[in-house]
Amino acid sequence: MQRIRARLGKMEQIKWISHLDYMRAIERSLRRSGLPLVYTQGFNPHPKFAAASALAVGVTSEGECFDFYLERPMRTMDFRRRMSQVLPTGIPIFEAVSVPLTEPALGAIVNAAWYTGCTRRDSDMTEKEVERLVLQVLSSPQLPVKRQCKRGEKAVDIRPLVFDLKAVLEHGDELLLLMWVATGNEGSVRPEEILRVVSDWSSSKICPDFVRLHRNRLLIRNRRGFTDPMQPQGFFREMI
Amino acid sequence: MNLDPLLSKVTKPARYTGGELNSVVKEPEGKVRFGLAFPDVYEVAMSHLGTHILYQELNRRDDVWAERVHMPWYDMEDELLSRGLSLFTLESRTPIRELDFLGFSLLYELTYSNVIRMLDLGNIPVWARDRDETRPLLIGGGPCTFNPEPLADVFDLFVIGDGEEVVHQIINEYIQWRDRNRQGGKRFFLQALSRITGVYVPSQYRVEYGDGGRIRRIEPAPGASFPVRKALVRDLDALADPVRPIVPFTEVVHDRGMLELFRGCTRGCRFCQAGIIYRPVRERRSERIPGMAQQLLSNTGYGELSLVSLSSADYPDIQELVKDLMGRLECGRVALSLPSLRVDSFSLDLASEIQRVKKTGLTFAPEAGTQRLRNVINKCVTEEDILATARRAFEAGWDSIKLYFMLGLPTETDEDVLGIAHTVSLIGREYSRVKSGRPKISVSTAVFVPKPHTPFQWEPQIGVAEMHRRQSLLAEALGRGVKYSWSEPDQSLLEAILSRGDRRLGPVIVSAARAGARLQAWSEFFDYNIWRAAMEKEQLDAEFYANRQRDSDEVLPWDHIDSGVSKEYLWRERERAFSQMTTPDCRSKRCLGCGITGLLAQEKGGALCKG
Repeated sequence: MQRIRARLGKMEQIKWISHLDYMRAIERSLRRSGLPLVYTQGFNPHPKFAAASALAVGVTSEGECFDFYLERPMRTMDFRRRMSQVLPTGIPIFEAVSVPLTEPALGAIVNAAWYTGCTRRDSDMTEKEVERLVLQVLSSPQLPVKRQCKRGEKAVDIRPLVFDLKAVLEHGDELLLLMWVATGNEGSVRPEEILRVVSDWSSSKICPDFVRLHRNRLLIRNRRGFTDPMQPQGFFREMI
Repeated sequence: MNLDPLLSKVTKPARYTGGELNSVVKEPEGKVRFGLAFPDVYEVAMSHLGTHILYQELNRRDDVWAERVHMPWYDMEDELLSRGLSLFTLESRTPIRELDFLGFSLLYELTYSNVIRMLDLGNIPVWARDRDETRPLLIGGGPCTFNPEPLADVFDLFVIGDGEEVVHQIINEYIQWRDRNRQGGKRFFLQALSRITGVYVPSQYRVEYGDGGRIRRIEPAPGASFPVRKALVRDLDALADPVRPIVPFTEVVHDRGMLELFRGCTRGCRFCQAGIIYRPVRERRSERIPGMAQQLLSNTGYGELSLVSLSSADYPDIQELVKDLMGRLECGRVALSLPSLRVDSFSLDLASEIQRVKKTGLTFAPEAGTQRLRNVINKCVTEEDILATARRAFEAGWDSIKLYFMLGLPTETDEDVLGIAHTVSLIGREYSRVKSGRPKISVSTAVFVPKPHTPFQWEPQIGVAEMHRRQSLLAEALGRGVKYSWSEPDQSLLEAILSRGDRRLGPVIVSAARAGARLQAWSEFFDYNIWRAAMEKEQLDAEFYANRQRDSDEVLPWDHIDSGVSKEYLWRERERAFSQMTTPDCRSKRCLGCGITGLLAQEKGGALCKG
């Protein structure tokens, strides 16, 4: 058996399909591929593959990681080529690497994500002003937000879940927000929650809703910093 | 058009975004723009085999672009209305009024008000007489067109029968007319179309009403055919193989590959409209099925393949075929399913064979609870059949079984209703003979709706109060161990009104739609009060349409629509029903003279019918 880890995307035209729909589209692509798939056991067998983390509806991504399992080993470049022939438009495959079967599951190691969101702002805002705002947010000891849960509203401090934040002024009235945040079992934060805080602190000079939201990467965060699940040994930090 | 602001507000936004595998995008320049409209939501539309077939059939042509249009869910409809946006096609987001054709699939009557709401959402005048040649031409197709009269003043034409070949003829005529600068206007074009077999142009017929609202006569315009004969595809294998259907991203009702084994059914169940209007039986050659299945699966990646027909076990080579397919599909872990199985051991063997990959539920439809009533409806299954089949199913490892029955069939008495509960309890006893514990039995009943072109087309439907009474009678008799679900009586009543309705119901549908009747096939949105008010406004009476016994010589609203089966044959079957005489399947026995051979003889080539 071979385990191949691949990074896939979810582009603009399909961003409104749910995570479940996305998984099903990949499953059907696998069935079309003619690759030597490993199937799950039981009454309702399906090709074995696992996602790292669910992506919210309406968000594009170029960082979705999956582990695929094959009966017989094959070259990862062949896997990538075969998959790109069968994946629907809107789901590109960017890279594929072979991963030892003994490695822990993706879901267990991926705990962070890097998002880029685009929002609107007052056109008279300056670089300095935006920089100061971000610094203010990051240096705050607590960032309480309200979350809906089964029993009404709950206050959550998202500060420990926000690892880094950058803002970039774009021409016109756009503002890019780059966010490195926790995701997964040990807690996660939604980019919208951060934007809401930033918007509040900007005295509403920044719009509280994203025009576009994009997940650049899923990441593994440890004491040394971020590593890329596609290259678990390497050190990873990518900026624009 | 950027839809993000809308899509972020509605449930299941993937219903509206298109872009699925095998959906078709073309350069619009010079193409005939055809909207395949389905008057219900995406998940239902994308489960409809006919839509998938026509989509592929039309898009094979370089001169046509067929796109899809569906009824939006209420939240999206509200968003479109509040923003003043038009209903658009999924593929190119073109407002529907800019299309050349809008072809609606009419599968069940409760979607009629959605047709009107979709037209309103597209800013298209609902009455055919108010639309000139600059508007899309409205075509209706599907089983409801065998009595399309309630929508006769809305549609420009209906295609009666199989659409695959007619639709090409219509488009060819259109291209000629268009290229001659639409000479003669819409009237001229419709006249040309009406010469095509299967095309019914309702504006060429005048309906005169007489005593008590009954139809006095139906008067064709000079030159219009009378009756209008249905279109018939004689050989399914001669059509292009529909093996590249759209694969929805989001989960739909029938989330699997569908392959049509045969069209038509000769069992002759007397309540069943499909069994009449799809005659004669036309089978695909069995040696072609495995290859088609392979193509379908490699084009879609489905994990389940369904062999579709009105009665799968009746396919001549079914056993061989299933064995062959199972062998081919097993390595790809593709499950096979056979809907519409009969209640007999042969069908059960088939079901056991196909359960090797995926264990699914077992569903049977005895339809009635006593032998007497089953004889009346010509559902030729005995109690011994039912019990033996159940027992073998339990032995084969099934613990749950689903049973479908109808309430309110002609001549039904309380004894027949209680007979359902009795049959169920006997099935339970079979279970305890095989193993310990309790089986999971679920029973579901629909209220009988008399349909046009059936031996029961003259019969009254039972009243709503009576529906309630029989449902409670059964619920009580079934007791608590059985899961019982039933249909909404008012919904069955409306279905009965519309299915045998005449042209006077057109304004009722339009005013109900505008008073808020939408998604009426969904029980959570169904509101009979709206319809009652609309009927009152038009001074029409529900009872006249639903609960009245018609005479044999009454002119029925659909008398000018020819399914190929004669009215005499239907009446003969009705008479046999009331004397509890069954009629054998004409596949195995002699020809019963239903009339379909006559329809076949009117066209060139030998008779397809095995009679």
